[in-house]
Amino acid sequence: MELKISDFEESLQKFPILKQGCIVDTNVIFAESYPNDNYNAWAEEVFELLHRNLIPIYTNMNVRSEFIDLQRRVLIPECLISFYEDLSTELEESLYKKLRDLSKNAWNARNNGKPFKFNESEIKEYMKLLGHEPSSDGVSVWTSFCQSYFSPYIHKVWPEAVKKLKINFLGTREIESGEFFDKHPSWDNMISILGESGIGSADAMILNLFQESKLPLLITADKAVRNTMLNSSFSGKFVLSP
Amino acid sequence: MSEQKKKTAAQEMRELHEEIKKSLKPSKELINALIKSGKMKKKDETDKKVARPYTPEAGA
Repeated sequence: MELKISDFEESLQKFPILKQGCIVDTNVIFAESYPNDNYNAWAEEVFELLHRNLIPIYTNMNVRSEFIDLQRRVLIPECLISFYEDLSTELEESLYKKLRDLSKNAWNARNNGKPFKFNESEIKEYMKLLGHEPSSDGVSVWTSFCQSYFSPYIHKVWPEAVKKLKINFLGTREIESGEFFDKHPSWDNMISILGESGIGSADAMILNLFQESKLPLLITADKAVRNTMLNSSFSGKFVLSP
Repeated sequence: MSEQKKKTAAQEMRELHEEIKKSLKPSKELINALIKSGKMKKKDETDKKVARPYTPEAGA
């Protein structure tokens, strides 16, 4: 059954089972942490609602891994811009121009309230531009850049999200304890979800985790995940989406 | 009466982000690697110009 945020507290009265807890998808945690995400305001409201009603929030390693990867796509361009602002006038002409244009594009996106993320090929392009090949007398420029700018951020983003958003982790111990699960999530079931919907494997793993868990609620901002759940056999389960 | 609203988790996360950003600076290893690769001029101590963040008024 689908729930909407506008009448969520009413649904809590009607279905007290919802207080047992929820699984949050990557896009909700990311939207909360990134102001220019399309669902930022919605995600803020979701977490405030969950905290206010003391509803436990759970996630797993697939979500953690996807979250880190999304942060990487946002933080690498941000770090390149910080690098440009620190050293630009000293930089070689073509590198200077490339970073200047990047800074301009990021500024425009921010001021239009749009997300600014790199894709995989853009990350590789900058790896190549700065130089990722190891040299005989030290590490590459890209490696040194990451150590100075990117690493201090990425080490903190997940622990900080866990702490501030009060997220609990469903690891092997929790799965095997039986406290939260009726059945063990399985590769075969994940493939069945993927095969019947065409969604990605990370999303299928999250849906399979939810399907086998005793938790009644999944929160996702991903329409494909929402639709897959509503089209499949998730009897007695709820989904909250924008 | 002063209205002191409790910060949301998102606001706290953003503040931490800004704190980290302020503390970032290029390491000596990065400067050396840039100079060795020809991607940076050797630093002239008398010339300490630093680019400002992009704004349309200031240009690049």
